[in-house]
Amino acid sequence: MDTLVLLFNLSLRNIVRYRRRNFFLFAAIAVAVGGTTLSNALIRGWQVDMLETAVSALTGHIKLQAPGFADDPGLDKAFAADPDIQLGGSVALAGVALRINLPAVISSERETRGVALVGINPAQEGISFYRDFVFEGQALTGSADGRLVIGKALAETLQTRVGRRVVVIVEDADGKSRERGYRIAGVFDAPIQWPEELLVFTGLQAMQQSLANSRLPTPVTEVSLVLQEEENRQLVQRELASKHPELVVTDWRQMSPQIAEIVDIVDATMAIWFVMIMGALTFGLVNTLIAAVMQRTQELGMLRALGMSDRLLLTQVVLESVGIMVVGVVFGLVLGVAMVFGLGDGIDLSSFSESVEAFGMSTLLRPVLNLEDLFLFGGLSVLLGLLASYFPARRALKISPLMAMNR
Amino acid sequence: MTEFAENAKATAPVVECRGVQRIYQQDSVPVYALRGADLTIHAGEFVSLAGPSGSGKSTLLNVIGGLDAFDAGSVSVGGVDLAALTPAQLAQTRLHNVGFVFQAYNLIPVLSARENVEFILQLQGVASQERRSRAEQALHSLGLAELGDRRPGELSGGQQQRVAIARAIVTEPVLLLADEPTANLDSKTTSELLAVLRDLNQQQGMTIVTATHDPIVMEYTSRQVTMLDGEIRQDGGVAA
Amino acid sequence: MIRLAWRNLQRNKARTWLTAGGIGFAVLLVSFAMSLQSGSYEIMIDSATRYFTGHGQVSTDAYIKQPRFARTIANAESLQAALEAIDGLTVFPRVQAFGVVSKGEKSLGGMILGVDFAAERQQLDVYNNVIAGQIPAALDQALIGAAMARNIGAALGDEIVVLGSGKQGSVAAAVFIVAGIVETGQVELDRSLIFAPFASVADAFYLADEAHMLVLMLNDLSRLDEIVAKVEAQLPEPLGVQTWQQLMPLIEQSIELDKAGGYLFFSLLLILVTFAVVNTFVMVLFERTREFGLFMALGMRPWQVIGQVQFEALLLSLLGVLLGLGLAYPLLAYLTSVGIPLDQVGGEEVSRQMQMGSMSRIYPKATWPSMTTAPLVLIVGTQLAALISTVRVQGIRPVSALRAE
Repeated sequence: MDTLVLLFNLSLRNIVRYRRRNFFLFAAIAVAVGGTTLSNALIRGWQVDMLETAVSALTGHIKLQAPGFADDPGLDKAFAADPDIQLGGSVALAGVALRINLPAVISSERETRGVALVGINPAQEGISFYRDFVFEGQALTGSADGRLVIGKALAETLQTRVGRRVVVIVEDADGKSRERGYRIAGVFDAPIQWPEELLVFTGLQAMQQSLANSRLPTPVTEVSLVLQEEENRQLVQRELASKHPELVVTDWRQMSPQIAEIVDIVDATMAIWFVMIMGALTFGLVNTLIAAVMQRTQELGMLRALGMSDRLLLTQVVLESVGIMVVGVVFGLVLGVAMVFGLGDGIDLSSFSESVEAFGMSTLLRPVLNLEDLFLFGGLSVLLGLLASYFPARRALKISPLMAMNR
Repeated sequence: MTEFAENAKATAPVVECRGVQRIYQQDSVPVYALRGADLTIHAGEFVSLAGPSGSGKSTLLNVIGGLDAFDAGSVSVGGVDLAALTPAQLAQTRLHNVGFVFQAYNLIPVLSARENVEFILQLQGVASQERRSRAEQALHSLGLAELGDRRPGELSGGQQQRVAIARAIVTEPVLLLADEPTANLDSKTTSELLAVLRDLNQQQGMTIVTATHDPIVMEYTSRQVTMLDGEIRQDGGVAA
Repeated sequence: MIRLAWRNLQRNKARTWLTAGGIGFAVLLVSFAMSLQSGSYEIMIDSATRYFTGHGQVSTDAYIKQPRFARTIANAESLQAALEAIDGLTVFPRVQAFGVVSKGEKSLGGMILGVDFAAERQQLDVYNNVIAGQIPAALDQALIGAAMARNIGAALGDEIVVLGSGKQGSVAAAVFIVAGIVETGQVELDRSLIFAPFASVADAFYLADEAHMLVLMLNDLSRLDEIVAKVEAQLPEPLGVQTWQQLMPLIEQSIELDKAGGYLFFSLLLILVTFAVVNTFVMVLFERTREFGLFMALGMRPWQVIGQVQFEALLLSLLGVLLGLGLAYPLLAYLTSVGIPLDQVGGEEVSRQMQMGSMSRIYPKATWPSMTTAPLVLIVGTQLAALISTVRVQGIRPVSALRAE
């Protein structure tokens, strides 16, 4: 133990002593680690944003629907729901929303479009993108509000505006088409485009009153849940599935498979990125480490002449490699974190708005620093230093104690 | 020859070389560095190995120190047959039985003088308190008590070599080997350093073997061995 | 000079090979990734445009601004004929109307697309996704989205009614028999699309020799600019051309976004390799201070020493570049002929989302930029690296250098 402390001390001093020689190696490691940190933060930010956007698109982490509704949405596949959903254990809910979500046809005096008519309780929609809508005119006042709010893009297409009337055709609980006139209370501007074109909202209670039949006075077609911790979703999904065997419980990964796939690909991308950068770095690292051994051939030869064992000699070389890596990694992490903070509120991607939205993210890319990532990549880098020390260590073992006799 | 050395001669020799051969392959042509050297050194002797470059004096010193292998003959140090040892055992022998002083000092540049001396004790696994006091004592005996905190780069050549001697003797080896210890020093420092070695030999009975081509060195040694072409030519003023 | 530089490089083989290896690795990675990128862009554009949208579309300027039913192209037939005369261009007309689609009691909002089935099926991939029945051959037949078929409960051979508003606001109605069901992979399209013969839809919605758009398909997409210029020359006043870049900004922007990410990666890689190379030369200088001092003591000027190291640097980077390209080229040549299967990499859902129909394999494409960028950057970088680390020889004083350890 004592010896280890000494060797550690020795390595540290050697690193400091050759700091000039090692400067550019440190710089290379720092660029690698810092760059990886930055890009990872951006990619993570993208991932988080994508997930948030996906979840806020009326899906939630978990959704309960009647069997067959997803394929053939209709009020005949509605159910009565107790808004007071209880979850066992310590799983915390961020929110629950009950909705009726039906395909509908909306017509102004000029144009006709297919949309989804969504009956909501505005008070519950803090978990969806409804909370981010900016209204011209009025928002829905509550669940009993029988007026309509439509998207800006749809309003333009229909050539209508706040205060005008539109006709909406939906099927009621008995499968009959119901045509009903609505007054447009407000026109909303959504952070992403498609809800503006495809969604129109009205009060849930008002919608229930106009469409329900005697069999089911307060129908809903979906219950959407957002959890405090996304990781709990499978637990909750299982629990709800056993509690409500008559319903289908799906999580966001099933509802938005593209997003789930991207989220997974992103993880792989980060790993590939890291491996490639570190692979390139290894060449420089091994190079310098070998030089560090070669340059001290005489010193290491002396240590062997004095009778230092192979094991200790190796330990010293390995410690020094790891030490160099640690110094570089620390610089790199500081650099990376500084760059992330330098970005501040994020990168404005509005010039890529359409593709950005297609990928399900908002136009502001906020980097997300994940402590686990930092530790993981920092740790892996140091591990790389450990592996890279194999080559200089092999060199060091070849040094004969006779080298001490030079000059 | 001192009385002490005379007495020691009666006991087993510290170094015993019999017919040692060392052959290097240079571009597949064998080069004889040692062609059958015989040398016996008893405790308390201060031996100089002299001879021109290529005479084999350094090779012989390296063989005795267990740094270099030999191809024929036998070498024993402190009664141990070196040929029978594995490299790891050789390293242990060097660590515990032999002290080295090199021409290029070979101090660890990043450690202070005291740390350099302590370092070898640490390799031996000596406890820290004992280490401290032994290192202090060794430095003190070489007149370096004041300089313990300096790094090698902050010391003169003579001072560095004295630190190297302190490092070599702090383990209390049976044998001290010095390869051209004065080659990098001026004549005044050389004399001072040789006096240090002589004192070590005479006062503490340290057995010392030094390879040199500096005639001044021989003035300080108790026995002068001269080598030529890989053989002992002259031993103690008598042609071998 | 070459020999001296080569000998010097051989003095420390491990270092030479490691440095060259680092350069080679970076060249390999960057060349490969850039080739892969350009290959994937091409196939992305191709499969996206060939799916449904076409390489370009002609419509009225007003329709481009805001697609409304009344904003049609007049004299569509003669215009189509005129444009088809352009070499390497195929043109087909479409009308697009919104209406209510019903079967019995069930009805849904839908988009009715009047198309020339015979022409379109030869050019577009969407028609490869008919999962039941076939592409309509008669005027009263239609092809409908799979989700729509499910939702209104329509099966093959069933009659469906389309109601909408025609050109002057008059009620338009048509009856079709479901001849086929198509699954595009895009939920919204599957839920709302009805393909019907151009003539029937035009008729039902009271259009006379009118179309909403003329879809342009090129034999060779690289001639896009040239052909678009010819098309524009033929167009009367209120008409304009949109190319796929405007029609599918998503694809264009995805490419830009991907390129931006790629540049970040490439520059990171190249910078760090350059730093590693600088490091190598710093070490070279440390080791050879004594030697350079000797040279200068013999009367060599500092710039001659620098020149010599520059030469070594050039040799070193060339070695690395050769190594990298030597590995990258055969790899790319192989993959260009075989392709990289996409389904094994995952991303099916993604490519579907991106309207990229049948994109099952990526073929990397080695282009001049993709193969020369990394080599050039690294050769220049290596020279600079050598320069940065050797300018210090000017400060070497021969005497002290000779004494340096």
